[in-house]
Amino acid sequence: MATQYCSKCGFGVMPTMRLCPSCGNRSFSPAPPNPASTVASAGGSSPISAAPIPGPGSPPPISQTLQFTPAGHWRRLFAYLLDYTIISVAAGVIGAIAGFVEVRNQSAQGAFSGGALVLLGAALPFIYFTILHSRPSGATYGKAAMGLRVVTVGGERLTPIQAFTRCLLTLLVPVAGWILVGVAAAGSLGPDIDVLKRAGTATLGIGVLAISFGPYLTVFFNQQRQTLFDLICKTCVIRTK
Amino acid sequence: MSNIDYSGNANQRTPCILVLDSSGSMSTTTGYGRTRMDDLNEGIAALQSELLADDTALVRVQLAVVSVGGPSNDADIMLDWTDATDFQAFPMRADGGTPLGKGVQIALNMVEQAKINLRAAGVSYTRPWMMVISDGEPTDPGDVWNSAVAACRAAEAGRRVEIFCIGVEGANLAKLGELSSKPPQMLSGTKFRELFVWLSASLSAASRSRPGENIQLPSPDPWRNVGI
Repeated sequence: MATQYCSKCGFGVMPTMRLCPSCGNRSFSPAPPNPASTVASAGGSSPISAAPIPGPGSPPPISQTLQFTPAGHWRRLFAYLLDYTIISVAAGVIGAIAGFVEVRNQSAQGAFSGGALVLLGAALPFIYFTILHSRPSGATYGKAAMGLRVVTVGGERLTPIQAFTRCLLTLLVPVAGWILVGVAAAGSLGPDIDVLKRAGTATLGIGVLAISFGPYLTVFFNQQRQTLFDLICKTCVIRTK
Repeated sequence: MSNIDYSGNANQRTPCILVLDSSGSMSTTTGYGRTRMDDLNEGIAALQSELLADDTALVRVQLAVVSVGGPSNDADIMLDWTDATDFQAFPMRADGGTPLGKGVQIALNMVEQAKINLRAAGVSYTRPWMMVISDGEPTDPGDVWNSAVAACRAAEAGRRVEIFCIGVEGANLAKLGELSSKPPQMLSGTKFRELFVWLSASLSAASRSRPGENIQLPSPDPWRNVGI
């Protein structure tokens, strides 16, 4: 949902707000009147929306720290595991059906139907995350179970395009990275010399670990606990409970 | 005129308007550096969280807020009718007096406007709720308060609205109780979070009911001061 800003103190509010809760002003504008800066917060909550800069004589802005609490690492991990369990089971079922279809129908049509089901299984993570992250609750089943949801850094619900882009980055960047690392490691294997073989294997192993987990390490270095993908997409995973 | 586009969501609605005391007494400290208003704001945030976790309530509940006191030192529509899907918690500021009678009159008018908008959009609705929360005594002139009381009683008797009155420590419960045929309830301490969790659960139950159907509300014991 779009945001409007108090024309007096710059406080960001819903479009249906008629009175600024910060200064009591009744007029709003679509853009903030002053450049805003993010305010750091002590304690468990971090503001996702930028805090307004008060003009001369206006009351200090109310902290928005009550609104959002970034998701904890363990909650996020368990949500991730739950989601991939759900997707794996569903993909397994689709794969089994695909295999059954191909076996039962030993023809081009059967191969086509089976292939279509295989593609559906491959697309399943994209469908799952895109639809569920862009619904009003902003949560997959795993995230909902852990009391989490995904929002933009402005605290708004993700559009389907935002949800798909985030999903694409999350799923494809590691895969692309593995391929690149694999190619680089294979190149380093070169002639049949043990040292180079071990170096190539080590490179492959370190590279896979770095690509797989590296983008998630950024959660330890920013207050909103955003992964690299969140930082790129300007999203955040927050607690709803 | 409605600000809500019902074409994307034609589910029946359960409108709920909150008449919130944001007078200066709400800046009374409650311990650990917090004030009553901090706890009320936390309750509003909890209301958003609870609604987000309930897929049915999320698409059926509508919220509006009338602030009594606050930076404007008057009773005003703070938040116009907003679907729960679009509702975002906002922190209120304590200041000014308590023109509660005027606030209640504004809320009653907003309830009627909500019904007009919903009927115009062809959307069914359950009986709207009005929850009045105050920690003090109305500062309205006598005639304004009496007029508000009469309007509330008439609206309830005509089954046009359900009114719930919640007093916070320091509230004139007898005065608050004049607004509704239901006995007012005193909040236990500043358990606003528990109150709004209850409100969300109650709205969820109401939103699942058919218009005119009686519903069983959850127990208010988690937030109610049973000694009053």
